[in-house]
Amino acid sequence: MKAWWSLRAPLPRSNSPAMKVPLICWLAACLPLAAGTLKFDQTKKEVTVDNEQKTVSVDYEFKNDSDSDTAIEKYDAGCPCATVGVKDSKMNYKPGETGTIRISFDLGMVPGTMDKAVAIYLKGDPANCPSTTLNTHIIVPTLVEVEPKSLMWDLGSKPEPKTVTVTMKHSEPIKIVSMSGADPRFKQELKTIEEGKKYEVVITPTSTEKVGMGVIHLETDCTFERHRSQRIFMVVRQPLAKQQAAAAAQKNP
Amino acid sequence: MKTVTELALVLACASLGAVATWKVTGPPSRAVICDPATITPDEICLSTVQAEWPAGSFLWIDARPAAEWKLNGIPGSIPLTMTGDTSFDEQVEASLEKLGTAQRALVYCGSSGCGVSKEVAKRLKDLGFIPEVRALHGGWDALKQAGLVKDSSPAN
Repeated sequence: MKAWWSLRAPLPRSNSPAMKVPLICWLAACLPLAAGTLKFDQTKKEVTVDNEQKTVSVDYEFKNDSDSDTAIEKYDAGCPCATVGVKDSKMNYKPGETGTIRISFDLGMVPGTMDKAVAIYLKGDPANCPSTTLNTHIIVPTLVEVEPKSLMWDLGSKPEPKTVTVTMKHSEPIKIVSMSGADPRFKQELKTIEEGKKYEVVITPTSTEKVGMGVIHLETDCTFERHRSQRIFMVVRQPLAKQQAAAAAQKNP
Repeated sequence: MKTVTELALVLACASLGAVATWKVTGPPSRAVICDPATITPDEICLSTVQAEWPAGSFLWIDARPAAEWKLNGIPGSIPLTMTGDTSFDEQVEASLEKLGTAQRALVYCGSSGCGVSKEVAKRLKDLGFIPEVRALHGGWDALKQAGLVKDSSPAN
């Protein structure tokens, strides 16, 4: 029995220029399909910022580790809080070439830690499927800690006083210079535990018969604007639906 | 010359196949894929929301920049974002009536890749007003694909 390939006519030799040229063109046309990739030194970075900073820039170095050319097509920070730039605006990279992506974050007025992701799309990447996502963990030190930031009472519950602790986490003392929030539905009292270091705010609703919300503003002498003003939120609310459901289930097992 | 003809024939066959596939199966799907089994616990698929969260039982929270919320935010939504010059606390204070009484909240941001909605959801959870706060997987892209938003439908 003959092998199946022996039944086929011999293939024509491809020495003629008429065949080589279209083949080379074909291969050249296919090259973009075999797009290269960029290898990043790190795709996750953590950065701690100073309190006066309003922006922070983070660099991500990369190298085209593949055998073919590649190009950065676009980047998506997902929000206007970050601007992305490539060093020297160079978007095309040959094998072995290196580059840097710089992400500048607008820290806004938000204290505390944040996670920001930026998607990097290379040529040939499908929509919504970037080759690389660069994740930056930004730590903005908290200088004035308010714990808890919100107090809640259930409707009809006993209007008991609740306490909020304000702790200064800075090396220098930070004083509370004023407390405002003249909502007649809540009584508040400021207690100094240690001047410039620790305070307590005791809040008592005058009544829990009606749903109500209030806000207390604490002004400090902190030199950093981001931390100068603090808020405490108070809510008298309907008991949670889950609690109601659980109570109903207990009543009607 | 024969090679060129053969090559043209191969290309024509491939193109015909591609067109036939397009006609039979339709255009390639650009839908935001959301598998409840693979998303993070702080996210939720729009399909889950539509199936399990009755309309009006939750609060929409727009985590995009305030200007975009004004332009075409979901009707009834409130703006709450991590960007801009207004602090998070100030924004919470401005919408305290709604935040203080909501039992559930769904946060969306500008695109599939944005992480602002998760940040906002986390901060809301930390405040403790709302028992259940989730970030919408796919964000604005998912809402657009579901036909829930128009180019301009002022939120307020």
